[in-house]
Amino acid sequence: MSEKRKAMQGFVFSIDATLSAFLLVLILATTVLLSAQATGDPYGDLQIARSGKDVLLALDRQGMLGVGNATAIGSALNATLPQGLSAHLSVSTYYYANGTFNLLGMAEYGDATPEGKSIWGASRNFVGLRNGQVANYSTARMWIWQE
Amino acid sequence: MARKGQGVPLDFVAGLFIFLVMLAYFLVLWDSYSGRYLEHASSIDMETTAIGIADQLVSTGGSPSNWTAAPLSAQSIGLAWRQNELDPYRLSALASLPYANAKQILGAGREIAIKIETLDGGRLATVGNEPASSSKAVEVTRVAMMNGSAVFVKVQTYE
Repeated sequence: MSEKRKAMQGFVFSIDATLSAFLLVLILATTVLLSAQATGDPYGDLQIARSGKDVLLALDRQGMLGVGNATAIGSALNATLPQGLSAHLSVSTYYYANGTFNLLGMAEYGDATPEGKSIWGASRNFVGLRNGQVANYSTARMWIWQE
Repeated sequence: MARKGQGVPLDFVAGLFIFLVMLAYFLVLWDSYSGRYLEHASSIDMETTAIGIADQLVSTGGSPSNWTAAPLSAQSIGLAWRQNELDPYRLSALASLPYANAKQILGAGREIAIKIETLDGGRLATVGNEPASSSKAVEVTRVAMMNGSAVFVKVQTYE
């Protein structure tokens, strides 16, 4: 067999081997992907996000968000959160003067946001009234996560 | 020529061996995962049913809007008079329905249990029976308001 023929045979074999290796990797990757999908919970995230909105809405309707009492808000937050969830709440209050919103204060409640965990958010705007007039504007932001 | 002729069956045998190894690998995987896929699909189905029912209860008022007048004729059941605000009359009407009718109108293809509880665990209403501890169940909890207080709306689906 000439040297040229040997070289060509080797070339044909390496294409076969590359194609086979490519197919093998593709099949293994598909297997790993499918097996990972079999164990995930695609709706768990949705439920956590909805719980955040629900809790924020409940706190607002109870009139807790504008109270400013850290103990009362912390207690209401813990009582209202469904089991297995923790949250951090931040309420920013603004007053409107000369055509702009100016920050009046910011208060933080609940647990500290954890590192390395998936966290979902919800927000709600509300106004504070004094003698039937809008006195200030607030935004409540909630960060919620699975314990 | 003789050595060339031997090369072809060696390739074939090697290829066949690899093919059989891969086939065996897939058969083992199929056996291992098919049961898990079915179980997972069943859990997802239960979860979507519970999520749908819980969302319907806290977000809608039902159809027709006065379904509480004739609960058995309701086309759909909802407990809210506005988003996340439960109406005690609608809740009473739901609780008064026979379980089979409530399940059918809610469109649940599985067994369900609906519990309305105060934040400290006091039971305000129950529809259906709670699942036995041995059965496979999924629970979805929503927070809503009723008569000025926050309540938990818990929907369980089980087999």
